[in-house]
Amino acid sequence: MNRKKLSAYGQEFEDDEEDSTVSKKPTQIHEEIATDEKGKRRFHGAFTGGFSAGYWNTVGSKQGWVPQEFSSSRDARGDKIKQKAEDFMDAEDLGEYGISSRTIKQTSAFGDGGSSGQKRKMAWERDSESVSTITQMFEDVVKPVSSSIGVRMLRSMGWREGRGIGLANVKQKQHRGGMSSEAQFDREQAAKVAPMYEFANENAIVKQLTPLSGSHGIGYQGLRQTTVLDESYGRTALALKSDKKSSKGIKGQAFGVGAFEEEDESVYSNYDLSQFDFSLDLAGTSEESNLKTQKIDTAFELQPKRLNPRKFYAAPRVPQNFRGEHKPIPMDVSRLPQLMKDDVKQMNAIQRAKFLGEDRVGALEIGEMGSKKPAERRSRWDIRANEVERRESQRGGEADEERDRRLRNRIEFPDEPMRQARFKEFLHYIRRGLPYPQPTDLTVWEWEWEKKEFESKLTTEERGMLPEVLSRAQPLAKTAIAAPIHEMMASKFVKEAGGDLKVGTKDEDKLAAVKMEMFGERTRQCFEWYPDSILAKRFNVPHPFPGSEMVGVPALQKTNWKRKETLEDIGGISTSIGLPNTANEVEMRERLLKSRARRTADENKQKNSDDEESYEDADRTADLEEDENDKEEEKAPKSFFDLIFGEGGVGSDASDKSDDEREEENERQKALKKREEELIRKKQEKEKREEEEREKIVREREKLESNDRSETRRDKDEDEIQIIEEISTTTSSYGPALPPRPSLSKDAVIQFLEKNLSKKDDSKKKHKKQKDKKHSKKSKKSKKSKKEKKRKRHSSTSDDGSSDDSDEWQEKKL
Amino acid sequence: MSKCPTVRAKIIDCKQGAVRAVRYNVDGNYCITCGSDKTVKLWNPMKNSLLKTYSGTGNEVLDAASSSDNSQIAAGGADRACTIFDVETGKQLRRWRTHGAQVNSVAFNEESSVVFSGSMDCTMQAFDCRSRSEKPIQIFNESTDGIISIDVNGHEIVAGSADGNYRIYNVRDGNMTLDYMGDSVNSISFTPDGNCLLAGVMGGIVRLMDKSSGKLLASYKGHQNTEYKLDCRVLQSIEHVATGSEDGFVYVYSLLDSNIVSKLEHPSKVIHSLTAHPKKERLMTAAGQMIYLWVADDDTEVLGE
Repeated sequence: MNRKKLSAYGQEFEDDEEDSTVSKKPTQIHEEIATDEKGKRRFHGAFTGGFSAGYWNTVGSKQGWVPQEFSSSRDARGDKIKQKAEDFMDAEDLGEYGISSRTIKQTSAFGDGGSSGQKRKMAWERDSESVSTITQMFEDVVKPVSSSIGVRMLRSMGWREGRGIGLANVKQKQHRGGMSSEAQFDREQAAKVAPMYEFANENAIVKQLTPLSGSHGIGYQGLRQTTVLDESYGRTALALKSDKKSSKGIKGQAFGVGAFEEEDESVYSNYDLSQFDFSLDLAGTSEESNLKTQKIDTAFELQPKRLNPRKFYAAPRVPQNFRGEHKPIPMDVSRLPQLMKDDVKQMNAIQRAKFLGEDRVGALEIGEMGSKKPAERRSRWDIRANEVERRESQRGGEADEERDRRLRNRIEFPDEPMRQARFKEFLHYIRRGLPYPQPTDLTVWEWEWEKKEFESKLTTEERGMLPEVLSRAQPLAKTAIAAPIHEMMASKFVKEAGGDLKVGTKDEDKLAAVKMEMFGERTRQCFEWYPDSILAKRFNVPHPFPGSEMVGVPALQKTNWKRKETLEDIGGISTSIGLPNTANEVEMRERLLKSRARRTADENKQKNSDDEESYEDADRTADLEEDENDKEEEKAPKSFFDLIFGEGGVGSDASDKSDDEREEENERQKALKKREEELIRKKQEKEKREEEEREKIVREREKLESNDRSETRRDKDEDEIQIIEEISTTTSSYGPALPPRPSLSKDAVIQFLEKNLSKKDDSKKKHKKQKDKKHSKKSKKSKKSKKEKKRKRHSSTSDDGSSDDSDEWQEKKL
Repeated sequence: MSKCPTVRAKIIDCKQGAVRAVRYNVDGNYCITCGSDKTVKLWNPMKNSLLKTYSGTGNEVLDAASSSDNSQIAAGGADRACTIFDVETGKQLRRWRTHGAQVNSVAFNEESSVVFSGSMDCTMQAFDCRSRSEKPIQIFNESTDGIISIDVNGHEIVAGSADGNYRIYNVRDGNMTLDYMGDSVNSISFTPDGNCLLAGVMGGIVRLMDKSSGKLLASYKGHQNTEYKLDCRVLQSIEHVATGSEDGFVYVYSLLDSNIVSKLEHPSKVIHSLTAHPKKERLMTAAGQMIYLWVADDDTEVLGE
């Protein structure tokens, strides 16, 4: 079983491998080992803070410790060997997590500081969740700037800190280029563009001037809190944060930080003040601190005047004599007209409400019901039973029943017993709420007409049931869905005899067309054909029906659809009955529907044209009649069908009724027309007699023929006893015969050619003689049946030819 | 107007029993013969030389086809199998044994990735040369009688059946067209331009049919065909139609006028197989154990000056 096919939607889980069982115990902490990319253990020693070194913790490399090669300094005396830090580091130190990782990172000077910039908050800023003052809100928006706009502009122009301002590269070239023409040119250009310009100093000491705020002395930076809106916001924090990290070179900790730990900012060294808390309570939580900040915030001032004070209006004054009571005026019935008074007396509450134009009549009714009977909780079964009881009570007595029966058995068509019987059945069906199927002995048109008549004769009560019945008569599924299913089902079952006979007659029509050499529409048929997807692929052609599972010609399919024995296929039945799965499928179904419509249209056309033609040529029909007579012998006699289906039932057995229904009908019909049946019986007897006579003749004929055959067989057996085996190997006995064995030997051919080369007249004469001989042979052969011919041919197999050959060769030799 | 082949240029004794079929290869430089002694032979008809003999089929070979790259030969016969030989080594590359009766005809598609075989078991089957599958890709079971002959042209496959129809399967359009011919279709082939079909029908009629409409363009009568499967072909120039006959002649008709242009005399009674050169106006016929090469009398390449 393929598990993959089970899931209809989504992605299925991967198959669990049978070998790997899920261990119940989680791995212990001490089992979790940090490894490098080669899989070797990274940390060793007394505590895992140790480090791996060398080759598998032994020596420098796989080859062992390799001392530096001695190189004589005689040749390169002036060269100093520059040693870099990387020379003393392992490969993994240069990796992603190493001390000197070689990945390119964005420096803090660019962008918005990255994630690390966000992380670095002052201690009192960290607890932002609990505080949601306006200052906190602003803090997210307003960000402290590390450098002034001027510095940033310079930086974007290529200036680095610690260097003078000016054209760096030209300065370099002045030194480096020496007296080359290029450097000279550069210098000249620079002098032209900026005559007073001085080149950048390589190591200028930049003094950053910071504005003094507050009343403290120069150089003092207090540990005070600032708010976002303060001018000096962030400056203190920035100042406190040690920003002295060099952007270049090696950084990070080599020791003491485990692979699973997050790297601390500074474990051993270079911690800055920003990591310390400056107050005991959390910022913003205590009222005092809030007050403080409010006081410090000087940006806002209280407005002394109030803006547009709200206007209030006085309540309306109630007159002195008002009393808070409602007194209805009673209706004076006596003043109503007399007629209405009489009517009102007879009315019940609801009628009265309707009369008075009350809208809530329904509600009133329900209210009435509710008031009468408190709602009981009843099961469905109780309700059913109650309803039935009520209905029975409603019918009321035997008189009603009697009336009902009379209605059911009423006679509307006294002159036509058949129709009356059908009408009775029709009523029966309607009362049961079922659609009445078309009777077999009526054509569609006749039945349509009769149905209308029946419906006009119905009582009002019965007519009320009609729409329900009609709705049941309609198919449950929409045609778009039902049609492909019907198509599929139809292709699964092969029609019995009837269909084949039709095909036979068609073939005869075609044959007639061929005889008259009227090729084209009459001899041509077109079908939709589904090539296999691989076939389409091999032909380098897009599949004409993408996504279809069908293969072959669905209209002519002898076998069923291509079967794939998977679960999906079993599921596929349900999906095919249900909604289409894909757009392709929808498309395919539409095509199917269209093609079906087309095919039926074609067939109709063909039928029509056939009919016309049949009038046109009487000769052909005469021929056909003969054939048809032959066919009738093959079919079961008509009387046989009559016996089963009643007279006239043979032609129209296309209706799709079940056998039971058919039997019912037959019984009904029999009961109604016993007389007719008697007549039929007589007919049958007659026909039987005729049939027997016919059969006798046929049997006699067969006897004669079989005698002939046995005779011929005997002859043949005598001839070909030795080659029984040959015959058994060649089974095919239909279609055009295989080409004959070489009847001529090589010499004969050569003789023929020689003759051909010599005088033409002579050769022709001789050839004629040969021909005559062969003809005589052939005529003998042709007397025997085709089969024999074939066998004979096979009998004269290669040994036959070769023996001829050899004989003649011998003759030649002699 | 090219001259029709009238001169018998070469005669080859194939020495393989009865020659069941003779077929040119794709460029017409070589030809294949199928023998009743269970062999297929590859010839150079210009030099009368036998190049290779392919054996290993279970019974006599009834038809063969050469692949378009000349590397493979497909053969089908009374052993109810479709066999593929490697041309160079002579080894059997593939063998499909899914047919229930003798295989009458085999054909490659243009790319030689699919082999079609028509059989007496009423089916045509398509086999995939590229996969190792033992099963056919598709079974064409629409025929109600044996498939006698097959031809493939582009994305169209035509199968002539003993039920009197030929069926055109169009892989691109996904439809099957069925044309009724009245009697067993012994030979069906596309014309070199692919617009028409030449159908040899039992009873001695060869019909030129319009592929798209199914209408009769011309019919050729005069030869005899009452018993055997006889080949007929349109020659390369599309001016002549050649058909075998059962009276010792190969009939060459004019395609347009449908009158007999020439009758090629053979020593054997029945000339059942013939093949037209794909590029020149030449014809190879098979009768008995011999094959014959026919050329026009102005064909200096074969006849010399």
